[in-house]
Amino acid sequence: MAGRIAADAGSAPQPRSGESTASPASVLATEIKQLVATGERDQARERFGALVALLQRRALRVAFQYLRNPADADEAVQDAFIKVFLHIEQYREDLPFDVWFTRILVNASLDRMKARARHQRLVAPVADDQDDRSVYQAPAAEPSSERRLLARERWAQVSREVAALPDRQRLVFTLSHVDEQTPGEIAAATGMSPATVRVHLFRALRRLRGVLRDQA
Amino acid sequence: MTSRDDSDARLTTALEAYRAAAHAEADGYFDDRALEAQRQRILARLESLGHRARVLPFPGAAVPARPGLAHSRRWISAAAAAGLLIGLVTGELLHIMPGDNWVHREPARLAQPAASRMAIVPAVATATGEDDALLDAIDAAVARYGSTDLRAFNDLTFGNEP
Repeated sequence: MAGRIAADAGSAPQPRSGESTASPASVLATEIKQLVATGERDQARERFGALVALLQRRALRVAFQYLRNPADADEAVQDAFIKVFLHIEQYREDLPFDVWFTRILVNASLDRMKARARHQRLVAPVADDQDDRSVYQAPAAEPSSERRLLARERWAQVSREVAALPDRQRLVFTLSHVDEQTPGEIAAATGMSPATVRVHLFRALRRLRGVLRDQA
Repeated sequence: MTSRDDSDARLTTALEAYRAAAHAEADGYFDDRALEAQRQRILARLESLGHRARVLPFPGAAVPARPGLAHSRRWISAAAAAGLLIGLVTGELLHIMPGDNWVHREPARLAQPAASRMAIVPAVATATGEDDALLDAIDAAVARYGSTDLRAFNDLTFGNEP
């Protein structure tokens, strides 16, 4: 598993050169921070609901691809949002909120993975077919049952290969190809250098190339 | 188009398909209702953070104690202790007080050793000897006077049983 990203909510990511930080999420986060600072917590919570609505689908996609379990993804996303609200005073308005949130989300997902590993050590292991249950979901609607079956088998194969990637490669691959983040954004969110991000991404794609070609 | 370009194009297409499939899979688990439910749970958790935690009463203390019970229990304990103390002091004083014989007499008898109790046996033997002398005197009197009244008395004795 990739190590927990240092300085969770306390330190903000490095700003990206030449990019505007005024995304809708950043604007909302700045507003919430000011409301909390002036003691208007009820209003801050109300505005925070809008921020959750803006980011939660994207957050759930990333968390689910990383954790491969809907309940764990739900918990991780909830924990991430709670942590954001509790540490909103540490958010720096001059930096993109999305990157700061991604960092918190990845750490929440890592915490959930650790909790799951602890739980699995304590309880009896489940059968292998149950472990792979989430992998065998149909990815999208297909016109015929034969094509749907074929797509499902290929999707299962790709999912298995992605799940078998080393943790850092899997994290970088998920952020890059599920959340569509740039290497610079991934570097800011994970604390890696952009060069390291590119190396992990290259290695992940090299391992997945064969199975992805078959899928295409 | 070269084979490398063709390969890259296929990979790009595959990655786009992977992204679409990954999104579809996650969205299949989290529909709009699930998103709304999650949002409500997050806001509820945030609201509960502002409140002080509710302290549940310990089950043993759930039944309210009667108001005077603890007070009376203290009185009962104090009275029992005082009674014990008074009893001990009084007992000691009765042992010390002069001119009172009954207290001393009974323990003396009880404390008598087994050997001294055996000394009673000669006393009993003496009494038996006196009884024998009395009976002898009676026999002599009967033999001397030949009284009919005394003969009737003699008949009642064990020696004349059939």
